[in-house]
Amino acid sequence: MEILRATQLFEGLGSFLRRCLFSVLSVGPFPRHIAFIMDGNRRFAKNQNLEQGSGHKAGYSALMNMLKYCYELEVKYITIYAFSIENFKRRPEEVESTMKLMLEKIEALVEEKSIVNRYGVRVYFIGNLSLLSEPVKLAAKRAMDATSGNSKAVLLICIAYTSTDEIMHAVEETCKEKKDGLRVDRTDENESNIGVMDIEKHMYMAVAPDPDIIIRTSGETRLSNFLLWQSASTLLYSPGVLWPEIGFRHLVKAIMEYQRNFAYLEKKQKLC
Amino acid sequence: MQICLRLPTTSPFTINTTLNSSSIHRNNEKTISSSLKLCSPQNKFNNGDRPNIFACFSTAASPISKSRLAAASNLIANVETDDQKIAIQLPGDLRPELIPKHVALIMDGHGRWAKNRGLPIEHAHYEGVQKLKQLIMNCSKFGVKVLTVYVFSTENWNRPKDEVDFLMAHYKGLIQSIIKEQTMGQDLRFSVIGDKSRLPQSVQSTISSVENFTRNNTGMHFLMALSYGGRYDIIEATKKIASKVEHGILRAEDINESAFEQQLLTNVTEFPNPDLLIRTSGELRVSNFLLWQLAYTEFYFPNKLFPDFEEADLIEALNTFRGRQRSFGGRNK
Repeated sequence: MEILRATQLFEGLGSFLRRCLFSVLSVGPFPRHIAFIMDGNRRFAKNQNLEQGSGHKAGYSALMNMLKYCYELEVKYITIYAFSIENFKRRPEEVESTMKLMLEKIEALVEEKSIVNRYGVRVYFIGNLSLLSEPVKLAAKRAMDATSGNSKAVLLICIAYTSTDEIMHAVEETCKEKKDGLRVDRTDENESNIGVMDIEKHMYMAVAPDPDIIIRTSGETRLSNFLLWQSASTLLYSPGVLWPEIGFRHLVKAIMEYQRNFAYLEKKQKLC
Repeated sequence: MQICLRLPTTSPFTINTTLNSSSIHRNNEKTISSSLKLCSPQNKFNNGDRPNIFACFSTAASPISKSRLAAASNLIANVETDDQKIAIQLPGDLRPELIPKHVALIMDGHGRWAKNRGLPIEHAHYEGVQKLKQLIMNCSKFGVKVLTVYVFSTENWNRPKDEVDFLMAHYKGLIQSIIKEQTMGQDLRFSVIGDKSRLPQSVQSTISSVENFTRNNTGMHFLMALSYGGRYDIIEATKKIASKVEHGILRAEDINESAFEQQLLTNVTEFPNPDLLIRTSGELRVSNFLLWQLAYTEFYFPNKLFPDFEEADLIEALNTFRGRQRSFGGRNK
């Protein structure tokens, strides 16, 4: 009982300190949308001599913490790269265990006391969902429906996703639309008048603005086919920490890096 | 036993191999005006019993041409043993098979460089051009197959008119001088990717004559991204595909990634997707460069400003690339 109260007190104190830090940080420009590439689960498990799947479990609790911090800091949009289409190429056992974990966690998302309900988060599943197994697909749809009334913040989970697949889908839809459009109105016989807007509206990620920061952990500096179109002006931040070990201080450092670059970027954009 | 013709070289990094016995022709210090060093990669770092063959040519005015290289290879082939491989010698621990095939570069930092020194921006651009030429030569020397450089973006058209005019004249001069000094000696192939229709007529005609002139060259392919944007590239490709769909050549359902890639501006080259992107001056973003093509590219963000970027910095970038594990979404064993 004592221990529980002490833990709650500690939690509350931590939250209070984070809010203080937030008020200091929010004096400067603040990111609206942060995306995470959660790299390093397997390495973490190996370093700690844990069994194969435990890295992902540790990664999941790190994710819950990061979501909590981001929503406390009032970052409205968070995107996570949960499973790439390329990851289907991994060993079948690993793919299966990842899918099982995802099904479990998607179902947990819509529970009463889950983080999405606490913070009023609307969930979207972004990707080529037809590639997922039936149970996962259904769970994803249920989660999206269950949270459709939430409006305080947004969580975009990229699953069965690659950016090139997303762009291809948008191109295909744009072409179909233009083809049908041309049948109706044949005024412009020259080049199809396709612009940025046409493609963007068919992107799976059209429900959110472009990310301000993409954080990839474990020191890897590449996008791995994540948000290629959307990351044209995004800050790419790659701390060396492994994903399960990420904490509040890394988030703060990312935001400070964003603020440091913002002034310079704004000046450059004015020149541009 | 080793046969070595060791010759002087301009690069401080090129001689570091260990030789286990004295070489016969070590004192033949000739200055031949060509720039390749050849050595066997297997025996470079182990003191084995097999013969080690070095033929070195120093860098002077004009680099070696492909035909001379072939001739030299034949000469060496006569004395090599069965399992020797001739490869281009690289500085430090770099190995030919780990050199990125396609390097992309964003040359950032001119403004800051000029400001730090209290000089006008034109000085920074001039210095940048010297560094760019050096970089082109080094990449070609190290065996990079394609080098793409982000020179002017679709967003840059919003800059003040006199700056844009200066830059256009500057780029025209740059293209002409690169071609004059570099292409022939290194057999460079030159292409420009971007919205050429927005460029001044004189620049467009310079570009097309240079592209034609170097079309059949077989050395490194140098791509200059001028009036280029990653989103522009994707939209143009979409327009081409839409036109095909409209004319019934292609069904919308059949559009796939490789068909789409063929329509991007980088289809002019054999290796359209960069393996390594270097952006100088510590800016951590892509700024609408090759968006589709950078899907699995390794990024390297040194803090140095581009007018300060030396050969050593390029070597460090290549060393960093060498150390990266690339799995393209799968798993490394």
